[in-house]
Amino acid sequence: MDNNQYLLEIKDVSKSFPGVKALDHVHLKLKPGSVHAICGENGAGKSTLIKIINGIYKMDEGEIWYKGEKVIPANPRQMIDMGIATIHQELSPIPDMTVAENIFLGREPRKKSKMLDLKKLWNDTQDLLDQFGFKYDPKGYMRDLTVSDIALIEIVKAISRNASVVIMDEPTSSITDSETSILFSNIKRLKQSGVGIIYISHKLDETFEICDEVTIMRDGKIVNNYPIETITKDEIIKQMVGREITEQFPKEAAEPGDTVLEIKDLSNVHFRNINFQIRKGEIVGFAGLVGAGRSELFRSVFGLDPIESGEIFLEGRKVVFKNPQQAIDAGILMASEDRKREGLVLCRSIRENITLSSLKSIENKGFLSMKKEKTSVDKMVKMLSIKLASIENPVSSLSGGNQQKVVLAKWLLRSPKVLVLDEPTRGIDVGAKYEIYKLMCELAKQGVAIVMISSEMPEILGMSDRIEIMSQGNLTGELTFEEATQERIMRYAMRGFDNDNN
Amino acid sequence: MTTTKAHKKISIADIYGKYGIFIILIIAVIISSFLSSTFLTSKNLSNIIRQNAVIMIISFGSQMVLITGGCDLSPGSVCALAGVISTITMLNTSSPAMALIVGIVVGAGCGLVNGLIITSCGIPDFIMTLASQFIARGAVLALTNAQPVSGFNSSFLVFGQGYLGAVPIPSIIMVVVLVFYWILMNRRRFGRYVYAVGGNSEAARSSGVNVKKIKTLAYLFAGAAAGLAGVILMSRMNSGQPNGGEQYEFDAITAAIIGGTSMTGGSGRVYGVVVGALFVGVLLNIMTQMNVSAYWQKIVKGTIIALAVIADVRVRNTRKA
Repeated sequence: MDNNQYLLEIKDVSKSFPGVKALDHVHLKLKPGSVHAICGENGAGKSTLIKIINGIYKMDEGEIWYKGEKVIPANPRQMIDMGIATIHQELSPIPDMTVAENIFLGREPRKKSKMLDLKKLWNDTQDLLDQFGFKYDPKGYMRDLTVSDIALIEIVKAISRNASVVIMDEPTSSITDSETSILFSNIKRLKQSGVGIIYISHKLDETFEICDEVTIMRDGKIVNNYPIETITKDEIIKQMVGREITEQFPKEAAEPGDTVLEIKDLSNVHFRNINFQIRKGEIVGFAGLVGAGRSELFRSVFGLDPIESGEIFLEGRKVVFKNPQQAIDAGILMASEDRKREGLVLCRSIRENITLSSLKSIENKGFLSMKKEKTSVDKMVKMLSIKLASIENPVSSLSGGNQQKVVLAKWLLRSPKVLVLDEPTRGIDVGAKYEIYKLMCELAKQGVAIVMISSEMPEILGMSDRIEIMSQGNLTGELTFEEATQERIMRYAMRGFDNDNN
Repeated sequence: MTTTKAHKKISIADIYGKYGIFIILIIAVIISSFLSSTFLTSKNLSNIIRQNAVIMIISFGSQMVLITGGCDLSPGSVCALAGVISTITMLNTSSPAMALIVGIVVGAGCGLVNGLIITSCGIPDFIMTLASQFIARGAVLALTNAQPVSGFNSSFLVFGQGYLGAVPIPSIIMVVVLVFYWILMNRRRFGRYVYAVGGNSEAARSSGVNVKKIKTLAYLFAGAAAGLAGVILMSRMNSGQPNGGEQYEFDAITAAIIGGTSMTGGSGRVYGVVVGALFVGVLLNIMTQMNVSAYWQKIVKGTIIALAVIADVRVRNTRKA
């Protein structure tokens, strides 16, 4: 075999964790100047494979060849120095450092005297940002930036290392569509200069747009490997899950009842004069670009953030929630977009997380009844088919999809009137997504009013009875299920931006 | 229940995390019994338990605060302040019950102030409690002019020196507090909230937990525990000692950490702190029996607290990977 043909070659790599074979004789060949997609459900072994390539995990068996030489990844630093850069899904900025300091962290330019060369630091950063066409201030602090800005800067950081191999793990999960196109044009530029890119994304449309080859993984094994032209989206999904998904969205026509929640002229720093109502059994999708103020709007309704002016009515009665506790007691529940930060107590057990908000209902004369608790938890685990070994294991041991189900289980125990789901399927595999959609429909049928904030267009189009679109803190449009198209939503979402941004 | 793809992890880290402290305690007992022929006598063992009551009670409070993600450096001084005020009350009222209640209330008051200031002003826990460590110590020294309080009715001595049959009263008080504390942490909503607040305060808040209230109550509990410990301590010493309880906070935190309480909050079991405190007790006992100087005892204690934290970090890291 001609080794030089490939930039990176993974041969027969296996990795086991106690009780589970995470990778089972995996092969992968990355050509220079190509983008290679890895598709698979969560838990298929993509992340494990990445962590072996970039030296975080040690493989049990197998070989890695890089530029025709056999390498044994010992630690992440070594792989970075060799030219393998990774853009992780989980961002890790240092908030109190500047943009420039973050990009050059660990390789700051120095003068002969070994002192930091700040001038060069600012200039180099400015050059990099110009190259990408990003308008950030090199001296600006990371803490002042949004999640999407931070994601872009992480991408700049990884690429600026002159890497030969760039691994991108869900690079677009927290950036907007227009930023995605900037990213893609940079990926194309990298390709031309001979860089090989491993691209992991749950968004299959992106895979088709940017990738040359696709490898499908399932249960730690490579299912197959195709040039992108020879395969269809449906075929990829089929091979990922190992079954045919007949319909992607289990949406059923809803029969909305009375108005449950009404918002009148609500404002704070993030949004202005929002008027909105939702009826029993309705699923309302909130679309918009990242930073449009959708999450902030409902965080205020939920009592997490303050409201400056306006009123909220629940079942016709005026309500004021000073904290989430009061909102929860009234029946308004919100599942945050950041489940690790705001949704779950990762170090505690699945059982404790599920019952955290409904401990009162499992009390017996002021004392917690372990029996009642177990019954409630088992019911939820069964209802949501959460895959777990024991309800006593920490939530951190679960996959993303199952963690999200734990968040939902926590709220379902409270019998919600209004359920706000902020990016309910972010970072979740296709199978679990479908189960969450089905659950949403089931809840709507039972009369729960569901607000779904989502940046995923198919989900908005496929699941909402009605779509509200926000842009820059304003509610800019409303569309019914029948009226909605991707273009119409986008037009409303971009309202208020410069025309040439479109 | 579905069990596909379940991770069943059994590793050294897990075993250490669960049983490590028991193993260490047993080893310490075995080694001690070889070092000293009098170590395993029932008299010495009951001595350890009796002397340990004060630290043990303080360490319950320290552990609760640690679980919320905080850290309390004030209990040693609070214990002295509350204990001394309790002896002054005894001097004036000759009522041990009254003295006991006043001691606990003073301690709880100090804890409440700690908690309220930390949660409402948002200052770091250890800074605030370091400040109150000084303030409480200063207050008790000023109050007594650094002179011991004595001359009260000897009925006060029941808390620290009394026996019920063959069982020392301080041990009984310790067990009562232990049961109360265990129920609080394991069978009451409050305990769940304490763990949730320390594990992830943002998630706890979003789940409807009043984070500030829980943190404040944890400090209140720690203060009350230190107050009660102060009463026992002064009773045992037969006088109100304004210099009593010095550095007890470190013994208490050591006991909690050795017992598997995480420095980062969110985890720690009640039985762990009991075993941890016993371990510290055994260690101090054998060192005293072996005539190890007080200076060397400090070095040993410091080393052990560092080792316990290293072990905690190790366990945490292996679990992540």
